[in-house]
Amino acid sequence: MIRKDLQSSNLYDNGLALTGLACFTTHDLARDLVNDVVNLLSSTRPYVRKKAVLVLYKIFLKYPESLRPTFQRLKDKLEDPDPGVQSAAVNVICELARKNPRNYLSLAPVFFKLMNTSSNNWMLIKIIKLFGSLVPLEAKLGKKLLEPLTNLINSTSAMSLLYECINTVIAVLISISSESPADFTASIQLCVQKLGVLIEDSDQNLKYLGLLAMGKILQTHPKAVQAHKDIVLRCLDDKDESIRLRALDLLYGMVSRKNIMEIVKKLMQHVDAAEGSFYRDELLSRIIDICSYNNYHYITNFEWYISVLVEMTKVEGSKHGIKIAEQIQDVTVRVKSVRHFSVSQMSLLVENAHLLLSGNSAQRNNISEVLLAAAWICGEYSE
Amino acid sequence: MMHYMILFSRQGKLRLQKWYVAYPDKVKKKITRELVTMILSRKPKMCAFLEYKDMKVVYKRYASLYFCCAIDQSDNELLCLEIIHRYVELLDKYFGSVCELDIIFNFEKAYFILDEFLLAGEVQETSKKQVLKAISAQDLLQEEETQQGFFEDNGLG
Repeated sequence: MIRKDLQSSNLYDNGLALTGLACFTTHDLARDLVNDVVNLLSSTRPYVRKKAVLVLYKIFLKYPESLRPTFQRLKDKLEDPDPGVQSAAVNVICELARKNPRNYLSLAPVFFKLMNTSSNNWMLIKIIKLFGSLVPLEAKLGKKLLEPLTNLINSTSAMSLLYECINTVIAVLISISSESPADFTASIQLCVQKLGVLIEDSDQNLKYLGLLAMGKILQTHPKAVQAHKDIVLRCLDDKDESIRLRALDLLYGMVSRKNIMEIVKKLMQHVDAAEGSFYRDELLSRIIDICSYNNYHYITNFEWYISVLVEMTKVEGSKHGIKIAEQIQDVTVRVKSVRHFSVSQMSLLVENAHLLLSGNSAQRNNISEVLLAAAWICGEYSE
Repeated sequence: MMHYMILFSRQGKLRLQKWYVAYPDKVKKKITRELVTMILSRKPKMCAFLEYKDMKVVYKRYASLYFCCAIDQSDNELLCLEIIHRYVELLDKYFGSVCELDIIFNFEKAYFILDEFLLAGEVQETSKKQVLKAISAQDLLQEEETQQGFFEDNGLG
């Protein structure tokens, strides 16, 4: 039945059959019908060709053995005179390349030409995404891409294209940063600058995406994001929880000895005000991670840190008893000068143990971890 | 690639659903229920992107309808917003100042338009004119093939 529709001369019959096939194709259907679909690729009407190209993607997913023989036909569609068919072919190859980039490296020059000649934003975004997945395989490609991408970033007014370019540039920089990090500071600066603009925008969506992309840059180029420290800190106070979570991600690159106390105080205020326990747990674990980062590099006043940890113990519903206990023990063992203070705090905790243990059983588990550590410390270091 | 698109009203009633990946019915119902509750509980000024299972969910509110799409982790969210907007523009052009009632009473047309615009989770045709041309040609075909007389003969009026 489907074959009859596919071979019909009415183009809307063909279209309907192809659309339906895209929704419900299975391994067997794909195997049987792939030849008919491939024949439709050379139909005289671009309407049908376009649909056939997209259905081929679904067929490849279900029946991968058909990819080899039909690949050549798909490549030909890239040169198709009708822009709709061309962009459909680009879409399909982009998605296929994400799964298995190696096979499509040879097509890179074709896409390069398309990228430079096309003005269709939808297609450009797909091509740039495709390059993003090819770049880890071929370092030269990355270098060659940087220039046209920076041109696009500077010239485009479409936010979506800008975002895609920045993402791909970050991918390029991550893959080639191992070789010669110094050469690309200009591109990194450009990206960071554009992301700064995104974060300051009043549109929540752009803020979220700006923070997300900055988080990716942070992992390889932490110094580059320092300039936007203030903006990120402001985002911590944003009403939107998702934005606050993303800003937390960036905090690692932003702390320094001077501002760590301030930041942690602000985070503790958020903990008190937090509505959901998921968010609260995130906050607590971030506070601990930031403070213990790099061997307590940023902490100048360990007594303050111990009091912060004690405060965290009293927070309800937290799941991080073990972590807090570990931290208290770690600090007390390693920092001789703080032991006296630590012992006095721990003894207070142990004295008030009955108050702390009055919560529900999950809470009791956490608190008991901390009390264990507290008791041990008192035993070891009290005089 | 888009995995699915659902439309629902402010009261949580499902108006349209299009699945580009096959899920069993129970899973579909569960996903729909969870997404509707999650999105309806978000305040107006919050950003339009969510993480759900291992996919990103992008939603936008137009008057009383929420348009919600699930895309892969590596897809561009702003592009998805553009796709939603383009679909709404298509509906608007076709129905002439579309409202929720148009979609409720002519849902099969809404599905046809979606099928012309997106195929297998990818954008099929970016030109509004082409999409609407294809739909109007199909409408014409439909009118020619089913005459009113045929219905009356069989007592369906």
